Amino acid sequence: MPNRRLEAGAVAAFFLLGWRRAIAEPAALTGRLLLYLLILAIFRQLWRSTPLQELGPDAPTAADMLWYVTVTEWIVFAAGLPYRVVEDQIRSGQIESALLRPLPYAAATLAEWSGATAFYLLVMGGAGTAAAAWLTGTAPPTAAAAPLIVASGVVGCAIALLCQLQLGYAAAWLGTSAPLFWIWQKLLFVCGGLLLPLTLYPPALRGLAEYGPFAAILFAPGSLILAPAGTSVAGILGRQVAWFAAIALLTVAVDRAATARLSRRGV
Amino acid sequence: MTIRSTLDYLLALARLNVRAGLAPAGVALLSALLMFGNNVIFFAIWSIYFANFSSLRGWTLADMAMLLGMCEWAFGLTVVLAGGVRHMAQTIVDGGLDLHLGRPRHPLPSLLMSRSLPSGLGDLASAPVFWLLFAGRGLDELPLLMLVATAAGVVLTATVAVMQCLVFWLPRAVGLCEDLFNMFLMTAVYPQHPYGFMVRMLLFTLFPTALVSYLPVEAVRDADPLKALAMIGAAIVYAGLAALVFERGLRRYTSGNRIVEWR
Repeated sequence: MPNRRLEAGAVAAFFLLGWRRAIAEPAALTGRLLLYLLILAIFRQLWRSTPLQELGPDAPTAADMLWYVTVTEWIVFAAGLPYRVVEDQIRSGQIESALLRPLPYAAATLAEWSGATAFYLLVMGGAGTAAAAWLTGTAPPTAAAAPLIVASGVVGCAIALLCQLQLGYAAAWLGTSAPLFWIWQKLLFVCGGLLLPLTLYPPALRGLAEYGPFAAILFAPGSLILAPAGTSVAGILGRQVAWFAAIALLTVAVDRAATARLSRRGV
Repeated sequence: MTIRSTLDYLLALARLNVRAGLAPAGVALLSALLMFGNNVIFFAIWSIYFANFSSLRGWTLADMAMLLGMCEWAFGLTVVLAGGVRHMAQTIVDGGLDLHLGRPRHPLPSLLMSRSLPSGLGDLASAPVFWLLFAGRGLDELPLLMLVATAAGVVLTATVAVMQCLVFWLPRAVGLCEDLFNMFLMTAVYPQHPYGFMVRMLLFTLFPTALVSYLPVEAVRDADPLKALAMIGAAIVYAGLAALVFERGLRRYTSGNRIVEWR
């Protein structure tokens, strides 16, 4: 029992470390914020130029679409690209000393990433909401659902971080993680509905994407902001939690395989 | 130094750089293949967009395919031949310029050609697929497409070089240089014709993403030789500007004492 308490304390310490490091790097925050705001400005213009009326009488407005992108991009920018840390540590050999810690490497890494991501979620959520309100001149379409959107966004980010840990570990086999990351990222953009809600997809692709892991990261929280009356919020959140559990189990398996390989063969 | 010897030097640099970038061959091939896949998957977003909407202010899926092909060729050319441009700021801050200043030639080409990213080969391979297959352009248009896209690559390399030179004046701005680069790419891969006049002016001058994606596409779409010439002119002007800014910056450079590493 005392070991468990010590482990929990160490995880909390790594979480705080991530949070504090994110605060201590204002340049990184500024860069992310600028990119986030730039993409919102680009999409404001894009949706204003799009003949949305072609979707029929229930078509979303340009403002609705921008609010949707504000939520999905919020998750992408808050999670960032932390897989690079694991990739760099494997390629440089620094992971050897990190593996010697009493706290498992994966737990420490995920705790630190979670701390940083929590900070970015908070700051970028505020900035994104303010920017979208200014750019559209409207309040979010379903402002009352804000707490649910935040909860769904947090779960989405958690799934993204688990995936990124696995992608970082890929360097143990391939020597690099970046090419796999690009593919994962673009699948996330397409199957997750980063820019276009999955409701606009052809039925076959929509059916496939909507129940997949990528939709649990982006489309689930994004869809809540456009959710028409009668949408099953419990169903959306339930799917997210199920994917979180499945990907967490997969992460444990990948972590074991990667650390075993690194311990056996070195870096 | 004759033009011939300069060209020989540049070719030798390019050959060595690409050869180093392709090692190990397995990882290089995997990077290139996955970058190709990455580009095709990204295009799916636009396929879905144009399946829902007839056009984007006159642009169709074929135009978007051409724009993405332009960006892929320009970016691929930059990172394969002049991959060092991505790390210029860090090299300058670390004092790594010493290695290039110790050589008898101008330091900028060897600095730019100090790295090669094999993933860029995937970009270079995907550009003709986008132009011919997705944009439906003819084989006879390929020389023009490659010409304007190569000019776009020169503009991209030169602009990134200018951005990276910021650290001569602001040594702590390495992160800012990376952010500016990302912003540049992000703006380039989206259509720019819906923007208002002022924004477009900015995109043709200070932040010239329009010269990397929009103008080359328009030159081919309209089969307009003047626009193609404008692209070549822009490539020359921006390359000259990059050399000028780099030389100005060099005056402020303080050695990192890494001359001992020169070999």
